[in-house]
Amino acid sequence: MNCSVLILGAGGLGCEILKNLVMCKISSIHIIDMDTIELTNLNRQFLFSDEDIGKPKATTAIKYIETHFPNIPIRLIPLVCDLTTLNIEFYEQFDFIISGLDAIKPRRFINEIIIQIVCKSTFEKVIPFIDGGTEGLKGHVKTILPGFTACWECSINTLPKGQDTLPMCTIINNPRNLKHVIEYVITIIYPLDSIKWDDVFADDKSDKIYQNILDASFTRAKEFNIDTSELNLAYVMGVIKRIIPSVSTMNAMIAANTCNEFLKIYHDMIEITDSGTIQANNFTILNGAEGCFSYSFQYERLKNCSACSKLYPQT
Amino acid sequence: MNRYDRQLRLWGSAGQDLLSKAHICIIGPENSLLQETIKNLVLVGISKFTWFKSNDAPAYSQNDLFYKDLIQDMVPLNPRGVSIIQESMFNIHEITQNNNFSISIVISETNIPEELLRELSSSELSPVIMSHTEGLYGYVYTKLFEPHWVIESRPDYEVPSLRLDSPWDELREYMDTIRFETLDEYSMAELPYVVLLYKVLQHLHSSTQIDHKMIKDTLTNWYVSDINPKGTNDLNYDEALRYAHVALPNESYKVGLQKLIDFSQQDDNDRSNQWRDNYNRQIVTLVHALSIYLDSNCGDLMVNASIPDMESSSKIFGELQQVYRNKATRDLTEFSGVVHQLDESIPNDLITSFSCNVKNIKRIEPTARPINDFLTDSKLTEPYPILSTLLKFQKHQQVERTSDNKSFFLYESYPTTSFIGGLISQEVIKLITHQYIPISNTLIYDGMHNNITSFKC
Amino acid sequence: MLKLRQLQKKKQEELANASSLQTTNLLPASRIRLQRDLETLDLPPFVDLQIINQIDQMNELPLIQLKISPDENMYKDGHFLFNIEFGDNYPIEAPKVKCLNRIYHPNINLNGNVCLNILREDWSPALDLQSIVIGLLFLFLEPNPKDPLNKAAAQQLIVNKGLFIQKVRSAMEGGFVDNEMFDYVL
Repeated sequence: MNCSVLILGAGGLGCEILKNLVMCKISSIHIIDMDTIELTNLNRQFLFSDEDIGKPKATTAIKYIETHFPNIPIRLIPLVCDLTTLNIEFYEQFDFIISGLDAIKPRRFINEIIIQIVCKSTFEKVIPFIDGGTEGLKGHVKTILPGFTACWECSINTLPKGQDTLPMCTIINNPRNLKHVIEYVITIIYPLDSIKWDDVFADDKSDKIYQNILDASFTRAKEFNIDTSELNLAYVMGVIKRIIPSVSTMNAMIAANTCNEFLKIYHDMIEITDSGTIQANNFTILNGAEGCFSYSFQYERLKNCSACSKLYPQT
Repeated sequence: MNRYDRQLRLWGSAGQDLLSKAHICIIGPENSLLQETIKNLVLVGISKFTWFKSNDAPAYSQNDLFYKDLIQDMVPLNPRGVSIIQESMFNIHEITQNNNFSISIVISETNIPEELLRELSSSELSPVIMSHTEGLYGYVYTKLFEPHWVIESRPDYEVPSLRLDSPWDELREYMDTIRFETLDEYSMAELPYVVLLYKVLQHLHSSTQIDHKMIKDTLTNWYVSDINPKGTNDLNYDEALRYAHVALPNESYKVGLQKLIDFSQQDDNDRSNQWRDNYNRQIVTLVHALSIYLDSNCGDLMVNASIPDMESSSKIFGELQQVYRNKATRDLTEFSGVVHQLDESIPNDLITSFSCNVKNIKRIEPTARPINDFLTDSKLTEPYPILSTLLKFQKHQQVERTSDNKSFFLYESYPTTSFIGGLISQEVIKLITHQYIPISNTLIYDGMHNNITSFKC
Repeated sequence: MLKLRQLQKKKQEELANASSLQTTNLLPASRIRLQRDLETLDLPPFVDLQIINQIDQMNELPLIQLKISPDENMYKDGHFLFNIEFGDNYPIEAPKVKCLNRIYHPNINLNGNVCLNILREDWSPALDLQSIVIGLLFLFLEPNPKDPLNKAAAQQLIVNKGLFIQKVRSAMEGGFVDNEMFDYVL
């Protein structure tokens, strides 16, 4: 397939998407990720093994493909950097962007980029953006054609609540469970905002910080008579890093779904109405916790969306 | 940190332990669907496979496979080691004679002898999963030979059972120590909402039929009007209104639970120690013990040790939590006694897990129909055209290309294969861990419309 | 991708008649949203706003300073400064609000943490800077002794409102209350 695709993220979804695109013989693939490989990635990120711990994800993933498919006629390019530092001219070179990110900020950035590209080129260049995400046995896929469908920003009201949702007075005065205790420690005693994480990781001090947080949590839990039988380092890390459960099976399903969305647009298998709009279920949610349930629907554009309303000038 | 940390948060160490001991039987050619399935299973920590390999025509070209040397390529994915024993199809009768597999996955049937197919669908085997993909479509079919029992179905939300309508002595005594007439508006704002609901129920004591609306009305007309006029903006009052249903006797589970108790007796009679899956046998024994326990406890279930978080001072919440914890410990001790009289070998962790999840126990019925009915029975082929077309492809029958079915012929079908590989392995995990609810029992994936249809057959 | 190309063509023809699309500076979505919040902000009297870190100042998170000067009730004549910092996930996550003065208030503690429901548990992306301004202003008109952050102050307000008001006054004058020194905010 003569097509240039950019994959955002080389994690659980990114590895799967890369493999699928290689098997579909896409002519050019870029993959971008700024992270390095950790032990807890290895239950799903199958392009990496124990010896790769500490290496950058993007280059290691591409190296795996190159080693296992010597002489494959695909242009494969890894990028190890923060994708929000790249400019609009960089993104213009792609025909598709498929994302397997776990954070909100870079998704919103890409959403803005593809809208700007449409603006700048007055619809000469439209890059479809297909966004996958998983949480445990659940996942979602959003297909965004800027200027034609709802954009990522149109649906921020539907996102689950982010961080900092416990009332301040509960954390400070009325803690009742371990989560309240840990939130106190990381808001008041060791404010996470003030910790320079880059320095911490550079000096390998992170273990010590987590240990301090754990010790302080024990003290505070005792003070308020809160049961500490579940309190350990893994529990603390879960709360601090807002760890989301993740498993190979759902990652494979969501990644596959994003690739099918790409194939359908590429092969003109999308429906277009007479009025020139796309008739497609642009949002899909998948839940594998009870049987396997999927719900696809057309998410409507937000008329006054702060990101994409500029693509619809009033005539 | 543990390699499996991200999935332990889904099924805990008990589930992971079952996975690490599992032995999977695979029947089919080396195609991308089986490669994908095995890859996912190795990643989650399964290490033992026996593969009855068929060489289906048309031969799969190496170009269609991601792994050129699967056995070698799986090694780095599980540091405990991966064993994939390859067997010839001639030895396949071993499956039915010496079946110690946790699960069998059958991907292609063409080279499997007819008699074995019959055996596969009639004998007392562990679950069998069958599947095929083509273009943007795929199906997964699970053949269960015995009922499948699930303790930890892990629903997203459940109504806590706090026994406000039928308090035990210690709960009643604790609630009685809280007396509105001795409290000012600020202390009342610190009471957990369950205390407000309990008091509302006491106030309504004489009424026969208490419903949701009565509780809300009493909160407004009695608690706010007479007791705490300045409490309208209090967070606990808000919560009491929102969770008013918690005060009602929650009888809805009883019908379902009674059915499960009846089923357990029936399953037990039918199978009389013939359970394939030891876990199923243990759960049935636990359900049996539950019915004995309920008989001697006026139908009241074991109390759950943890109560949901609610607005409250730490002190009162802690005290209330302790009241529930005490009762839960006593109940669990009594229930364990009943269980161990029936079967001493049932581990305590399992009893505890059963006791905490007793309202969410699920039983999946055995599969009635063979999948091939969807190919042969016109009553079934018509409502499920995608499935019957997939079965034709699977059996190498001629499928004519038309304008309606062109997405079956899409060349780039790898993502769909990968999707179904993910789905099969997810079902395998659910069946082995007895956590989460497996599909029941046939599922069709339509990648063209992003649809999943599943139904019982 | 012919179908998509056809759609693009059609749009281009439509746009040829209308005004062309405006390209703006490339800013993260959080900042674009904040920009819109500021454009539509209807600042009540007694509240002043100053932008400390500009929205397009990319090396820093946008930072806004509010000065609230209540004209009635117990905090009358005081001037209270708040920093509002807008993170990259705004408005999915609420901005971080800190009181810059050390003040005697049941819902604000001595470190400047603020207990206001819309800043934490009741935040929603549909809320905006306007909602926060109103919420903070309300804290000074109606301090709430239930769910307090400064328990001693809340207790004082409950037990003896007269004495509480006296303590608020002396705290605002920069004096000592209950062995703690407060900032002069008049």
